[in-house]
Amino acid sequence: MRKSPILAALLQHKVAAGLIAAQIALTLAIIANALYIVIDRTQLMARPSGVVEQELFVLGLTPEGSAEQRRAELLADLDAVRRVPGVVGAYLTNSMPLSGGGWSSSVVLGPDGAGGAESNTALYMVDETALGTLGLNLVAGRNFEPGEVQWHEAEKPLRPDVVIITQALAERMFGDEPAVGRMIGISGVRGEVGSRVIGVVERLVTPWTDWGRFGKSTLIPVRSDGSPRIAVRTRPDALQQTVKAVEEALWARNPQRVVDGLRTMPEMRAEQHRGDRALVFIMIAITICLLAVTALGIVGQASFWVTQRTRQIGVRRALGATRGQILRYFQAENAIIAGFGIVVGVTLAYVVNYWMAENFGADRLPWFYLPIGAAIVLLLGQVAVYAPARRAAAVPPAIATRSA
Amino acid sequence: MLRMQNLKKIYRTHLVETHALRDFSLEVGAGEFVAVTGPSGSGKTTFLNIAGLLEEHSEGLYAIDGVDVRGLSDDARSRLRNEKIGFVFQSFNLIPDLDLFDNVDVPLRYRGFDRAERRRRIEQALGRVGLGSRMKHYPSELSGGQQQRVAIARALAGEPKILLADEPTGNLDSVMARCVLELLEEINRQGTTIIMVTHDLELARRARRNVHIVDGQIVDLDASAPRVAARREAAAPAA
Repeated sequence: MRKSPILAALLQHKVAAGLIAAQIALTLAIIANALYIVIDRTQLMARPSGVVEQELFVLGLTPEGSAEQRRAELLADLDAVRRVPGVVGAYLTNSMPLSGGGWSSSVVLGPDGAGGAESNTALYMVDETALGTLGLNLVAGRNFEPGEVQWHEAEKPLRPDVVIITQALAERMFGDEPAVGRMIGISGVRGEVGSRVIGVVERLVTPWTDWGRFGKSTLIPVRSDGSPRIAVRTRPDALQQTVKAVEEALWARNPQRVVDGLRTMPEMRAEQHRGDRALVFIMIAITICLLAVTALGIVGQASFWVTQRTRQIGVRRALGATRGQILRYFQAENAIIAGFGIVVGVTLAYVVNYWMAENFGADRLPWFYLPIGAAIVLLLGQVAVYAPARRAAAVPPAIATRSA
Repeated sequence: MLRMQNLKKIYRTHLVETHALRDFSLEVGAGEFVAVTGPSGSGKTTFLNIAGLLEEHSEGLYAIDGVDVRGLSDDARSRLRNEKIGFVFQSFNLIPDLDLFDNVDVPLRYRGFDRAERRRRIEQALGRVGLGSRMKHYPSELSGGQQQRVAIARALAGEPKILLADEPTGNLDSVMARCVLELLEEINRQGTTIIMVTHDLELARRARRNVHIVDGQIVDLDASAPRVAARREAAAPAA
């Protein structure tokens, strides 16, 4: 079985062709991983939080005095905020989705669920108005009733009688079985008195975007008098002006007070994903640079070969090659080099990813990124070689009769 | 076989016009062996380029095997060149990266023959020039004479109507030159028309007809009409 003449000719230039193939292999290995990171992070940034982000903001309060004084002050503040024009709803809480800070706990089946399912969850302190304020979608059970909402006693463990959990947590804990009416222990202590699940909301993400259990949240009917926050929902398109009005309303009640931690949800989302955006930018920049360098390498090598083989091209033309056949020769030559690069690159990408996954817990690269990467470098090669190949095709056949 | 009538080739730049061929008329019949001679710059190479469809002429008629080539597209000229013309160059012009088999295969691939037909023709052509046993060798492993024989095999494999030879012995020593010339004569005896451009008058005398070019014109044509089969000596059937 004879080798293709193009391959046979390339094998006479192993070093030059091998260097280009190695460059293509490295490019493929890197861009396949970079592409995966870019798409993964872009999807991560686009994940819905489950709340009406464009209408929500949060601010922090620091009440003073005894517990009774603090609680009275907080309820008066909450009432003042709810009366501000533009405010649709408000409640006292400990944390907000995507805020970057909050409480988490392990949750077990309880009170007699030892040995059953287990998960981590974010804990949100809320009242009976929170579902409406956040815009959550209750898909099973019921909302809290005003009488179920209690003040959190400092230094005491959180043991609410009833809880509402997200669908993601419900599926983790109970699989396909209904969650409403089941008992869970939210402090993670097996065998302790548990809390009854009274409702399930479709989606509510945790405060942390980089947390693996992103969608597993628990709403507890508890108010804290420590340093709580007020979550506020405004009318659509009235977020910014309502923020200002709420601040003024609070200062009107007490000009000496400190209102801190004021952030809108769009700001929180942007802040939480700052690292992801930077990573995506860096990966895209690396990919573009790498593709450009590889393309320039191909252009340079192909141009050199065209110059080096000008007479040979003229001879081929004299022997009957059409311009199209010369063009296709160089394209085929590049495709063969890229083919070698792709085989090595795919192997390299797989091996490096496997090693990273085994040693550093990196995500495994989904297989389909490799053919996508291969298609990109193959196309890149064809685009890069086109101009030199056209130059080759323009070599006149009369070159063949000129003195060497 | 080849007919040029009042043919002109003018190279134009923005400063000067150079008349490389002027009122050039020549007819070559099937089976002839014509030597084209002339001093440097006389227009021999221009004639060869136009005859071989490597360049277009400016004015006049040029027909090859009855086909008027004027106005043909570049692709059509390439196909005509591939089918009807074989080239033997002074510097052999073999492709150094390919072995002898693949070198002879080059024009056959452009012709579109299938694999079996190409193999048959390659083996036959290399066998004809005495290099059938060296198909896997590379040009650099051969002597100049052997390389020129490979170039002749490459030209013959496509069974062209005309073989155009450009100083085919110019880069060879006298022994090898005689071998190559004898091979060309044998090919001609077997029916292939040969037009050989040379400045070597002794070599030209071996041809059956001489055409002398000076300043782009034929000045010494030892016969105005083509000498075709009548002068063929014991011509063997075409291979």
